[in-house]
Amino acid sequence: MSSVPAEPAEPAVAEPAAPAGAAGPPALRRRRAEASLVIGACLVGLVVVLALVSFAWTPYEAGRAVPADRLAGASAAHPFGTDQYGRDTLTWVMCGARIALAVGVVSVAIALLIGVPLGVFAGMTRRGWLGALVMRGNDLLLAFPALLLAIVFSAVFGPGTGPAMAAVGIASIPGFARVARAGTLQVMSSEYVLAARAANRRPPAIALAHVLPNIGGMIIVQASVSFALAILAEAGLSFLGLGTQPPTPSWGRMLQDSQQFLGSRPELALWPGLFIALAVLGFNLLGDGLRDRLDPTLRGRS
Amino acid sequence: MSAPLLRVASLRVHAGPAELVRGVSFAVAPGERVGLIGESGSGKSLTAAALMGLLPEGLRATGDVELAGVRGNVLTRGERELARVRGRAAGMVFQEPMSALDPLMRVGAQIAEALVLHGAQRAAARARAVEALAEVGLPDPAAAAAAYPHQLSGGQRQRVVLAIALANEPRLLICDEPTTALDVTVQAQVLELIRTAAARPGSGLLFITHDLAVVAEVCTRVLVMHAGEVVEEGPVGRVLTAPAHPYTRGLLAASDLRAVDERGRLFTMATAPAYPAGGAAAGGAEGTAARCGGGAATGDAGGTGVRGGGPETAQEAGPEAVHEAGTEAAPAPVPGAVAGPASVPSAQPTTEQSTGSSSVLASELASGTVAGTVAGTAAETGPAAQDSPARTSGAGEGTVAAIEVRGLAKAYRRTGRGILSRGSEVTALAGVSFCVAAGARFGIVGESGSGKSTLLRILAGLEPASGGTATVSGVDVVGAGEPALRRMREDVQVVFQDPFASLDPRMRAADIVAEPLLAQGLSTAERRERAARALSDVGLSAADGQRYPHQFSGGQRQRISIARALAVRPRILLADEPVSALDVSVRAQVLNLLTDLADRYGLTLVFISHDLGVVRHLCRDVIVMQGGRIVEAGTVDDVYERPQHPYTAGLVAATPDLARALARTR
Amino acid sequence: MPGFLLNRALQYLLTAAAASVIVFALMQLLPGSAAQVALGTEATPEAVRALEAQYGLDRPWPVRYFEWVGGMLHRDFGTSYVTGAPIAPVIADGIQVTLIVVIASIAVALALAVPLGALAALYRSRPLGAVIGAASQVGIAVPSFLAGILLVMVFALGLRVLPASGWAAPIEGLGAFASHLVLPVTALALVQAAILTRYVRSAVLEVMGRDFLRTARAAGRTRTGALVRHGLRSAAIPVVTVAGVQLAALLVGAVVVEQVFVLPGIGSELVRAVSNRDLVTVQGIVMVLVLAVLVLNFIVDLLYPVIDPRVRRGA
Repeated sequence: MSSVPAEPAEPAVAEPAAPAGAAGPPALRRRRAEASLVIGACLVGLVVVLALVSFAWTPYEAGRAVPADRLAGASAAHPFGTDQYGRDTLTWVMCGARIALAVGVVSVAIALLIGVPLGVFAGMTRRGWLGALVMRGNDLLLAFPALLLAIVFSAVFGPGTGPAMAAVGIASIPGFARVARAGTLQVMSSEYVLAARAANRRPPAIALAHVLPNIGGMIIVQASVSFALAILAEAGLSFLGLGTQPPTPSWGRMLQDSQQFLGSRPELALWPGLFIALAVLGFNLLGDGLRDRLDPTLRGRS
Repeated sequence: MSAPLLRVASLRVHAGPAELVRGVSFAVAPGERVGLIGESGSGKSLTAAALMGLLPEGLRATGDVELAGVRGNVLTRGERELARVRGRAAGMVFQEPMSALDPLMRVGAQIAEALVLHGAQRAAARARAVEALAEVGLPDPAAAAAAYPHQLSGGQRQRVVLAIALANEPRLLICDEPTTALDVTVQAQVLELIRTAAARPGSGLLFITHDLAVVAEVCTRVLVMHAGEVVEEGPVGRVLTAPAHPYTRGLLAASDLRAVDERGRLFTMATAPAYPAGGAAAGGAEGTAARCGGGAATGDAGGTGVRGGGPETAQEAGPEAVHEAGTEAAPAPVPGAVAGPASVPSAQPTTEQSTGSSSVLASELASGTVAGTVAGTAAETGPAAQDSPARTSGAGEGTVAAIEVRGLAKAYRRTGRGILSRGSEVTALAGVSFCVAAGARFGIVGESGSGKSTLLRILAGLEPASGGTATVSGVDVVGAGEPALRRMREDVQVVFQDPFASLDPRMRAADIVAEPLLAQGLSTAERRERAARALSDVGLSAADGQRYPHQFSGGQRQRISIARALAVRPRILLADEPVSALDVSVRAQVLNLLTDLADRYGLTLVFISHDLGVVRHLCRDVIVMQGGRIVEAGTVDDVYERPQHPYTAGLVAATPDLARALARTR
Repeated sequence: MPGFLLNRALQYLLTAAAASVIVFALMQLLPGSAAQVALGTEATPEAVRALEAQYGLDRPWPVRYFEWVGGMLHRDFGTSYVTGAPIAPVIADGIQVTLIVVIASIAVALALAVPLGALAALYRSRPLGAVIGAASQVGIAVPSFLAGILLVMVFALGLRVLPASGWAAPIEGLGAFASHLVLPVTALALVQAAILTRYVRSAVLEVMGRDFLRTARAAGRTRTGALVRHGLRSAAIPVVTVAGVQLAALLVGAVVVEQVFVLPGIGSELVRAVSNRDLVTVQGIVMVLVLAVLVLNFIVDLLYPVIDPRVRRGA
């Protein structure tokens, strides 16, 4: 499926932050970064609030189907209308946010907890073969995009949210490992690390005091981009019917169900589609905004 | 007199509301070579860029710029019209040769392109490009034309850029720091080339640089820029000998590494009023002979630390000054002289020089006076001396070497790019031997690729060597285990080159300074106190300690770097080009600071630099490195005045020298 | 140059070998045997054992792995336990359709992204740049299957100018072939173009700050002229890298989009096989998809030495 690239292959490509000289006046960039940050945070906030509220309250019970009301248009009772079983679309959209966020959180956590230590270790070790091994592992996993791995997991373990989370998480490891390794290599080649070594600091201390704080920004950005990727992958998988299984509401599943009614009730596709797009847009904008916010060349220049 | 090639009237460069260049006016006449000097941020490069419509985006120029061959004001012309002018009416050369050429295009094609742009036929342009490469002195022009930029060295690339700039025979050549990124020997060749180009009949040169000596060697007239304004203008001989503006005077004083004040310190912007203006020129006129006898004798005999000032200084400063220095500055030890009798006559297996062997060590002549000086130093420095009894006694008995290197070799494997390639062996150091006496100030001079930085990293235990021995503070770092290296590092600290890269951007200054103390198991209170003391030693306040590196200027950052190195009270300080990234005025301050601290704490200072002048000011003994070998060793005065090795002689000759250049212009 | 290519080829071969091990191993993680899965839970142990014996599943896994790999080298992907039919023809038919869609998509995406990204960079502080930037940001957020659904709504169901689904081979007439291709390719290409536009933009921005553009301008190029003549080729290097990485995403994107447009591609076969729990077929298709990714990336790698002389020298 088309998605935000799991990870740009070269750190130099690492999206949008072009070098200061070329990126125009820093003031302009700062303003744009602020805008991205605010809009992104709002959209992510919206999805999070929807998901949280859905635990406490939804217009109807998620499982409640009223055949008499099936395929109803928007009304006061059903602001978003109902689906082919007469279930409230707004309720399903709200509950769908849970799955989207859950898959994002779990898969990003898996990828971050495995990928970052791996990348930092590969970047710090002076044994070249280990770094090479991590990079070759990356190449290998690049041939298995998140969705493909998720399909395989679904085939082996049966369809479901759990295998989907695991597959997306594993497929996202190389992204984190690569970013962490690239950042670590950069930090390790800096004179301040040389100074720290000259000051008798041991590698674990250097990792904690210098490497992690300095690659933190990159990792946060990678996390938000991976989050968007995970939402897309889950939606795609559920759209194929291989992800989250009924009766659990999910946006991808809603899209699949809507396909038979595209001619008559297009909003059945539009609502879940809109929220998928908003959530992904939110996380991507958040990532962009954070990238510029955390860019030290733009900080504290005012 | 014919019409000027370039006339600039009240040129201003705006960045939004801020004004970076504030009303600059000047002219370049045919046959003139005009220098534009200033420190970073003075607006000199922006001025040059504005003339050709090459300002970075977001900046806007106003004013009036008239260029011979272009009608009206250049600044009001559109990009398309300007493009037709550029390269034809005026050619430009920039600072960074490594990135100035399109990496994906053959060199000859890039020169030919410049010709085709201004109407040449493609085939003719290609032939002309090869000629142009010959004219800028590339040995095999046909091969060079077919080469890609990455196959050429920095100096060769700058020649190519010059060939592009001159391809259409513009009458005006604008050079923006064209040699700053080059080694001195290459710099001398490129400067020669620029002088030749500017000597074509009817042509003129606008030369932008921060280096006063370079401007004196190249230009006839000079403009001094400061904070966006031209503060002084005139013939080179006048401005650089009798500056009218205090800023020029300060610049001149701070960049003169031979003149020192009564405390034996370099002049700074602040102490510039005491600087004997024209001293450099006078010294140059008298020649160097006066200096080599007088300078050394004065310094050593008096034990005052007034070194290298030469007779001029004494003259100008008057007898009181000398007297004062004699008494007050007494604790300042004669650097290197401490080594005196400590001379370990070292055989240097790899140097061709037999003279090199013993010249590392202080001359016999000095040893007499030295003993007294050292005793005085030890007594006066008090606590620092007590910290390290070994050094004090060692200095007294004259047998301690702080660093002893024997046949040190370093080869590393350049990793191959693929599974099949094995990579190639590169030799960074080939049998280096020398000896640094405790308390000495020892210089290591070399151009890029000489292995000097590798040497320093090995000495600091930061990089393994592949052969030989290097005993630093009693530990042979070659083959030493981590525990021994850790012990050694408590005595040895490093100050790095780049003040922007050597401080962790996410740590506060106080934490940066305290970092080396963490490994020593001190209590938090003790660490804080030591860090505060180190900061105040380098002239920073406790409040400064709470700020982050990006909130400091380059010079201040280098102070933090020095404070970090001194916080653990090392006995040996290794400094890797600590002032090469700094402006001249700041450079003097940092060098003085290093001198002060080395004196106060009785440090052994190993100072690496590409800059002969800096090493000469600071150090007593020096080794000159080339291609991983020591080609010459001795006292700075011997090496500089009577270089034995052709490489050293070339290096000394190629180094721009203000006094020499001014003497030549007269 | 031959050294560079040989190296890359070797790397890809190793990666392909490792990938085959992973694909095979994943299938072995299955609780119970493939025969059990194919026959369902009600099957008697005897029936399962009989099927295992029939397909050789009772032999140790290294034997089966090398048999599988050896078969693939002779274009034999084995037999489906579910349908009993050979798998290779199914894959061969499907991959053709999928590759046509994918290659057409990346071509369209690049044709859109390169000029748009360059414009966005050139006009970054003006409205045009902001519009392109915003559009690409939104485009990235729309998954290709959603784009497909929207396109169907508008062009097939609304305007009725293009078929909503199905596939026509080129033999059946180029008009029909093209009209069935338009919507799926557009769905994939639009989203891909949005992603690539951002990379092109940042690559061009990065190049715009390079010194050699200033050299070219000082020699008489206009700002735009210097960028076109010198900048774009440099900017192409990172873009090619990203396009290579994106091919994998595109291939998998095609799997989903085939569902939207009911295309007889390899993705449809994959989804059917997963739904039927036809693991041998899944294993074969996944391996072919992975190989396709690797081969496409190798082809992209061939471009590097063409663009960049510094790579040619490389060992």
